[in-house]
Amino acid sequence: MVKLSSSAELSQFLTSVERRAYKHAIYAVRDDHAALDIVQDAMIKLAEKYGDKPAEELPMLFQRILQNTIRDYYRRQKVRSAWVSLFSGLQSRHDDEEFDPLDVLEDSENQSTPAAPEASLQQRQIIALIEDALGNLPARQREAFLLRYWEGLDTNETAAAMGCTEGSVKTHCSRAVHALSVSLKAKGVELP
Amino acid sequence: MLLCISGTNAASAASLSWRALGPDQREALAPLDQQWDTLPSVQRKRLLETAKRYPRLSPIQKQRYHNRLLKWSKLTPEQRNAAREKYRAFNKIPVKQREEVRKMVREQEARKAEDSGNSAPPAFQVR
Amino acid sequence: MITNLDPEKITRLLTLSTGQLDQSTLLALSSARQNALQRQPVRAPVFALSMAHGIHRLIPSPIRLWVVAGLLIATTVIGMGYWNHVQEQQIDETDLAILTDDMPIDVFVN
Repeated sequence: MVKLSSSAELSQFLTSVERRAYKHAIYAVRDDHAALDIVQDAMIKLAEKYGDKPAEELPMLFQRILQNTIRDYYRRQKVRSAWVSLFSGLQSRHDDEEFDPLDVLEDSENQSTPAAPEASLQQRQIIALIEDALGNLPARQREAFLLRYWEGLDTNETAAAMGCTEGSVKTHCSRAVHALSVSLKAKGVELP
Repeated sequence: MLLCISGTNAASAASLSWRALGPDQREALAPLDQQWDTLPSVQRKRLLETAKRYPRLSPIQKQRYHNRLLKWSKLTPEQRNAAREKYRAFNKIPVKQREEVRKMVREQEARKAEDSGNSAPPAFQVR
Repeated sequence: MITNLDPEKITRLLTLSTGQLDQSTLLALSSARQNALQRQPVRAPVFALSMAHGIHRLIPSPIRLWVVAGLLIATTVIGMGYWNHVQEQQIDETDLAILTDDMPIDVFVN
């Protein structure tokens, strides 16, 4: 009998992944409300559908669910934008606080409170530029890059989480790395 | 006429309770059996009006009606009003455009159904 | 010729950025986590999922709800008579149409 994850284990797991999950979502959708919704949806789905799975299965399950939730969001957005263009007057406008990396940059420059000790001002600026470049990648490339290199999944696991072949994971990853290199070079970013 | 209107509006709370509903009404509103008595009476009356036509709906329409009742009843009055406005506006746009949107939404729904069908990732289900 | 960056250098900075989330985001994440944990016991999650999207917007503000309900009742009591009656019928018809149309309800609901 495999040991199933207890409530404490699930809680610990979610705590350990929530910040990164939020970052995944924000790079993909660039809207903090939507990103929080996505993370919450994914967490709830994991708890409801797989809350009784062994703890060691949770990380992969969660990545898969998170990526699916992000893709669902894209689809809803697509229909929605067609909708808005049809009759924009009716659409309520409370969710247009777009994530703008330039704001982040400006904020960190003008901040009256001192920056977090673990990241210098220069680092923050570089991070903002990287996040900007990541946000500009095609969705599949960004997904592959983040899963493969940030989450440290191997190509097989990344393919499973993305629902594609290992071959396309490799293609997406190498294109992503190249595009990021080009984009950061153009902005004169030197990585420490 | 006025009398008749105020007559329906004055329907007592008791006659709106789940137990007081007739068999047809209960069948139409079955998905709400648990929360019916907790809904505001304005909302219950409105739902009863739609339920009147339930017997004449096609089977697929009956199914949609049942599937959507719970979600519909959980919306705020504001959200329901906004939805009604949108629905009316949607039905005023040119037929061609309307059909395009319908088609796009149908495609999206089909993809979603496909996805949720295999959303249980087989690779990680091994016990 | 552009030499490709080391992905690890990028991801190291991304990890660093997770330490810079602001307090309100951290609070929202923590409440999202609590919401999820409450659902862990396996129950039939039929509507939970669709309701979960935008959950903080869906929670009805009781005050707003009462204000709207109050307004509805007030208009009824004052009695706009026939006009009101016709409007009511139109609403009922729209409601039935929304509940039975082949377009999913989500399309009309924010």
